[in-house]
Order: sequence, then structure tokens, then C-alpha cells
Amino acid sequence: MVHITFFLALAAILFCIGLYGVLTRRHLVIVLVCVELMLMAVSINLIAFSAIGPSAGIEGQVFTLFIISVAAAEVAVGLAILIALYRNRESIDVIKHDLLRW
Amino acid sequence: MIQNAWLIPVFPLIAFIILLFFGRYLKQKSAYVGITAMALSFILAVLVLFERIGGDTYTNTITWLTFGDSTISMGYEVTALNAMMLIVVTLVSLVVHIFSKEYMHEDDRINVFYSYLGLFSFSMLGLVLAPNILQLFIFWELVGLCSYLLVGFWFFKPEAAAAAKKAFLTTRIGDVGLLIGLVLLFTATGSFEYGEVFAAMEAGLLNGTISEALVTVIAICIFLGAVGKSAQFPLHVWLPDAMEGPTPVSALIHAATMVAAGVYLVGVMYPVFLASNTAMTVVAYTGAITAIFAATIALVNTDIKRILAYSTVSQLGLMILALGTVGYVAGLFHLMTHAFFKALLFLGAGSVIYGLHHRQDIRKMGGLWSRMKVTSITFLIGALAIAGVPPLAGFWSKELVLAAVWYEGDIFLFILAVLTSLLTAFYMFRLFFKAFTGEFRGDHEPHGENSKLMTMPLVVLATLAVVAGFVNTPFGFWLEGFLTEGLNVGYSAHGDAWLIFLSIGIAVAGIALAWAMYYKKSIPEDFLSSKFPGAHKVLLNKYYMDEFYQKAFVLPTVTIGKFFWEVDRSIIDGIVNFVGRSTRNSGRTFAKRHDGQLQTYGLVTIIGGLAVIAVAFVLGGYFG
Amino acid sequence: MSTQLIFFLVLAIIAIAGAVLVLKLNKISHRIVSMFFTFFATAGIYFLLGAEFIGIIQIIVYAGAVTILFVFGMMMTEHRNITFGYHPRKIHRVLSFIGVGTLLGLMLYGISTLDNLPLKEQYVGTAEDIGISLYGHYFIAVIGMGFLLTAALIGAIVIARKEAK
Repeated sequence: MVHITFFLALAAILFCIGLYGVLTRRHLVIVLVCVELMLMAVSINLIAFSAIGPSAGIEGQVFTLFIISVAAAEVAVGLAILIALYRNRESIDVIKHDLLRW
Repeated sequence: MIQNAWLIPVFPLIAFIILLFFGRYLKQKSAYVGITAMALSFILAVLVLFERIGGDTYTNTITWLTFGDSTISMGYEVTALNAMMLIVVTLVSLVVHIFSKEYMHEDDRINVFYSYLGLFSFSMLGLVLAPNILQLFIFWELVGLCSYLLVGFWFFKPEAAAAAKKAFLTTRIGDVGLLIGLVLLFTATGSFEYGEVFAAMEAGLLNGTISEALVTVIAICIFLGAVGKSAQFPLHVWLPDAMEGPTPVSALIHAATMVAAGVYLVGVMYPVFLASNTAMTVVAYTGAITAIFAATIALVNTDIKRILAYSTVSQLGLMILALGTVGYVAGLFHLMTHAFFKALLFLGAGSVIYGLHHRQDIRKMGGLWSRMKVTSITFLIGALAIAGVPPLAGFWSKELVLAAVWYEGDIFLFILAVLTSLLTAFYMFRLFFKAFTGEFRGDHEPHGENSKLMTMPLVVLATLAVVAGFVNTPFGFWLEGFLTEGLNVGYSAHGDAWLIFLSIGIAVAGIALAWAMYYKKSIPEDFLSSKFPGAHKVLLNKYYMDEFYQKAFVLPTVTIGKFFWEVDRSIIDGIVNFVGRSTRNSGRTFAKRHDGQLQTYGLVTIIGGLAVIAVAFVLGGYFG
Repeated sequence: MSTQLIFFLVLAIIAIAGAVLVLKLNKISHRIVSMFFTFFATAGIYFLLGAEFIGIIQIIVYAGAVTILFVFGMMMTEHRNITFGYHPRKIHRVLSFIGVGTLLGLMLYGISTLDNLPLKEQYVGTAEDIGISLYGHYFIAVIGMGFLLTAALIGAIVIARKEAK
């Protein structure tokens, strides 16, 4: 069996790529995609621990299910907001959406 | 009736409240409110006096505060001294109320004036009726406030505003002394009630729990209050300046009642003073120095009201001197007679000033005898009374004062007292001859005698100035018996025959000298001033007391104040402004960073989180 | 080198490459396709770990539904031109790289020091186990999730619909 550290390293790398994308990409859809990547990295961790962790059990898989549900809901709402935003401001650029400015 | 004595101060208080709320609608009618209230008070005071003569001291108190074993009460008390003071205050106040109606009728704020008069009468009567020294102190401060308000009544005149401020601040110095004395007295005896205080003090002195030094300190602190209120040297400087107020106010507050409160205070606290020889000496010397000091200044002054003001200071000095030389009755008797004839003189001066369209310089007067008959005659009676010509009131009381000083045994004090009497007679008749006889030197002819409303009070007071002395003559010491009944206030001196003749001789000599200089002009007016120009200049400048205070106290205080103001402005404000400015600037700086860029926020969050993790790693020892 | 490790490495490389390409490709549609590969590779990882049920769900939800959603989102917005011109803050990108790199370094360091975890026999959770757990112990959470999905459904419709004139 593959040692658990490999899975954890993979998850960490995916998480960081997602994070970097969230911080730097300017297309709103891509930002949402990167958020999905980060969630997925967490799921990998959960499944890995669930299968070959120190206290392996079914809980990791159950919570991965929850994460997938939340991610699905998040994508649906996120894209809805994105479309409403695009309709109102005619732009998909993150930098242009600075309504929180002082 | 005596149990209703508390109503006496309540009437003027009601008048004050009415005028406070409805004065602006009443305007000229305000006078009637004030006069009615004072008349009621006066009638009640007379009834109370008669009852007190026949009866006994009446005290009625309720508990005000209780803390620990100490109880502070408030209420009212009618002793012999109180009853006498009630008559003096209500009578003079009533007369002044009547006089003011005409005198102030041109003033637009007459309702305010009458409301202040009401408040003052209430405070002064409350002070007199107070059964304990704490309550006395409260009313003591209230009369100080009224004095401030009334001296500064014409506050739009800068001199009046300055005079009011000066009066308030100067008396405040004495009041602080009085407050310290009260606190010391309370810690020493555990009570504010007169009777309890005196009893506890006597017991404490006997069994040694209260040292004589402490009593001396207490007495001198209390005396400081009297020094401030009664304008004794060296805190006398406010009283002449207080003449900036309306003349009826000068008559009421600064001649007859409030300034006498200091004398009254010493009289009320007399057992405390008697317990300390040092304190008595201090009191006597303060009085004597004040008396001669003010009398000399009055010699050369040319403002009719200021001459009377210095005369008041001088006479108050005599009262204090009498009290300091165990002349309890003499001091208080002089207080009473002085209240009448000095109020008379001030109202006479007010009548003159009113007639002359508010001119006060006696060099610009003269010849008023033929123009203002009633005013002149009553003024002459007042002048004769203060000079001490028998059988007027001033003669009997002054003679008693001289006797008290003589029997005390200090020949220096006696010489000062005699000299003061001589000077008093001289400067009063200098004033009289210059203002009322000879040619009219003014630029504005008076419109003749004032109306009955103004002269009637003068006549009333003149009558009193004549007869008030008969209550205590060598033929019958009624007042003395009344005041000292049941009290242990030391012996009282009765003058020998030679003292009476000395007293008369002084008065006649002073009057004759003034007559020769200012009426006959057989001695030139500048006879002395040309011989001693230096001394004359010193007197004209009031011994440079104001200048001295200006240099010694006011300037350093102002300098220190300015210094601390600078400190406050540059350092304290600097710190505050620095904090404020740096907060604002950092706010601006960080507001710039608040640019609405979600990704920037995210980056900052990541970096912050990293910092937290780094700290946790280092502190947690993850890096070895 | 065991078969499992080979499979793992292949899947991991696909996943990471897909993720990198999401950031680096030029066209939005290509990026979404590379995202699909990442999701698919992740599902393979799940199979590798014996979580077949989750793997299938991953394919259905992520590789299927979510990808389609993204395609719709892409189509309904600007997708032809995704060069936004001059980036006003170059330093931002550098700082992000440094920050995220540091984070990754820290995490990898932490993972590499987990040497006390033993290599043990793999636990296989069947779909039956998941069902028992979901409708037994986590029943309330499942109900809550149902509410969440309903709310997300309604919310998405309300937000995205055209506002009435």
C-alpha cells in the first residue's frame, strides 16, 4: 500500500495551486474553479485518512459526501451570483468588482 | 409667633421666586412684590423680637444627615443676638427696597434687581437664623454670591464686572479659611451646633483632649472668614471697588448687613475666641489696623461712595477691635447702630447721586443744602451719628467701644481707636461741607429734592440714627442685659465720665477742624497735603495696596497660569493632537489599502495566517 | 515499486498537471476541460483508496454536473477574450507566489515529519456502511444538507433570473 504521506502531499499541492489561482486569476469563473480545486484537495485528505489513517473508519467518506454536496450548492449559487454580476456590471474581471472599496 | 420665625427668610425667597419666573412681565411692579415681602418679614421680625424679649431662646431643628456618630441638623434658632440682627436686616432691607423703587426705575432690569435683592435678603436672614455653623456657612456663601451678582449688576460696565470678580475672589480667600476652620472645629468637637461645639470645646480644654494651640488655629481660621466678608485688612480691597454696584445695594449689602456678617460670625463664635488669648489679640489688632488704615484713606478720597466705603471698612474695624478686646456688647451694639446710620449715609449719597445724574465726585458738588433739603438734613444727622455726637446713636456705641478697648489695657490699641474716631469725624464732615455747603461746582444743576419715595426712607433711618442708641446708655443697659443674658461672654466695660467727655471732645475736634478747613476756609485745604506731598500721594493711592496685590499675587498667579497654559497647549495638547493626528493618518493610510480588491484581502489573510503559523511553529518547537 | 504506487503517481501527475493547466491555459473552455481531468484523476485516487462509492459520486457530481455548470457559466458570460490587459499590481502576483509557496513548504515539511504513522492495512468502507452511517448517526446532518441544497436551488434561481422591468 502507498504510504499516506503521498496522498497528503498531493492534497497539499492541489490545495496550494487552487489557492494561488484564487489569489491571482482575474476571470471570475476560473476563481470559482480554483475554489473547487481547494475543496477537492480537502476531500482527498479525508478519504486518505479514512482508508489508511491511524484511526481509519467510515466517517471520512461521509464527510466527503457532505463536502461534495456543499461544493455543488456553492457552485450553483456562485455561478448564479456571477451571472447576475456580469449582467449588472458588464465585466468578468475580479479587479473591476471593487464594491467593497472605502 | 417665635416658632414661625422661619417664615422671615421665606417671604423674600418667595419674592425672589416670583420675580424669577414672572419678573419680566411685572417690570416696574416688581418693586411692590419685593417691598411687600420685606414688609411682612419686618413685621414678623418685630413680633419675634418682642416675644424673645419676654421669652427664651427658641430652637427648632430637624436631622439632615447622619453618618457614624455624627449628626448634622438644620433648622432655625432665635437667640437674643439673632433677634436683634433680624430687626436690623429686615428694617434696612425694607428701607432699601422702598428707596430702590425710585432709584432704579430708569433701569430696564429692575425686576432682576429686585429678585437679587430678595435672594440676598433670604440668604442674609437665613444666615442670621442658622442654628449651626454649617448652615451659617451655606448662607454665608449665598450672600457672597448675591454680593457678586449685585456688584456686577451693571455688568456691561467693565469696572463693575471687574469689581464683582474682585469682591468674589477676595472674599473667597477668607471663605476658604472659614471652611478649614469649620472642618477643624468639627474634627475637634464632633458637632456643628453652637451649643454642643462650645460645650465640647470647654470640656476638651479642661481634660486636655483639645489643645489651646488648636483652638487658636480654629479661631483664626474662622476669623479669616470674617476678615474676608467684613473687609478687614488685608482683604479689605474689594469693598471700595464694590461701590460700582447700585447705591442701594451698597447701602444694604456693603454697609449694613453682609459686611456685618463677619462681625456677627465672630459674635456667634465668641466662646471659641474667648478660649484663646492669641486669637483675641489677632482679632483686636486686625480691627485696629483696619480702622486707622481705612480712615486715613478716606481723608483724601474724592468719590462720595468710596469715602463712605472706606468709612465702612474703618467702622467694621472698630467693631472687630471691640470684639477683640472682650467688648462683646460694644461690638454688636456698634454693628446695630452703624447699620442704621451707614445705611442712611449711603442712601443719602444715593439720593445725591440720583439728583446729580450719577455724578459721584465731591469736588463737583457743593451747595446742595439749599437744593436738597431733606437729603441734606438727614445726611447731616447720619454724619453727626457716625462722628459720635451725643445723643445720636453712634455716640453711645462708639463710647462703649472705646471703653472696651481702654479696659482691655492695651494703650496702643486705645490710641488707634481714638485716632480713628477723630479721623472719622473729620472726613465725614469734610465730605459734608464739600458736598452740601458752599457754591455749587458741578456742571449740571440738580433738579431739586427727590420724591417722597426716596426721602421717606432717609427720614426713617435718620430717626433710627437718632434713637437707636438709647437702647444701651449709661442710664440703662437694656441691650446689654438682653444680649448677655444667660451667656458667658466675658465682662463688659462701661465708660467712665472722662471717657464720655473724651469721646465728645474727639468728635467736636474733628468736626471743628473740618469746619475750619472746608467751610470757613481759615485753614487752606491743601495745608497738610502741600506739607506732606509724599504721604498725601500714598493715601490717594490707598497705600498702594491694589498695586501691591497686583504685583505680589495677581501677576505671579497670572504668570504661573500662563506658564501652565503654555505647558497645556504645547505638551498636553501636543500629545493629544499627536495621538489624534497619528490615528487619523494611519486611518488614511489603511483606508487606501481598503481598495475593495478581494484578492488583495485574501493575500493579506494568507500572509497573516502564515505569520501566525510561523509563530506557532517557533514557539511550539517544530523547528527544533 | 508496487502497482498501486505506479497508479498513484500517474493519477497524481494527471491531477497536478490538470490543476496547473487550469491556471496556465489561454482559453476558458480549455481550462474547464483541464479541470475535468483533475476531477477525474481525483476520482481515480478515491478508487485507489478503496472508496468506490465516493469515486463514483465524484465522477457524477464533479466531473459531470459541476463541469457542465461551469460550461454554462462560461457561456453566459464573456469568454472569448480573457486577456484583461495590463495588471495594475505585479507585486501582488509575486507576493501571492511567495506566500502560497511558503505555505506549501510548511505543509510539506509538516507532512514529511509525520514519520510515526505506520503503513497499515487499508480500511474498505462499502456503500452500505456509508448508508448506515448517513441515515443513522448523521441523520440530522443529512436533513440539514437537504435544506441547504433546496435553499441553494431556490437562491440560484432567484439571483440569476432577469429582474422584472
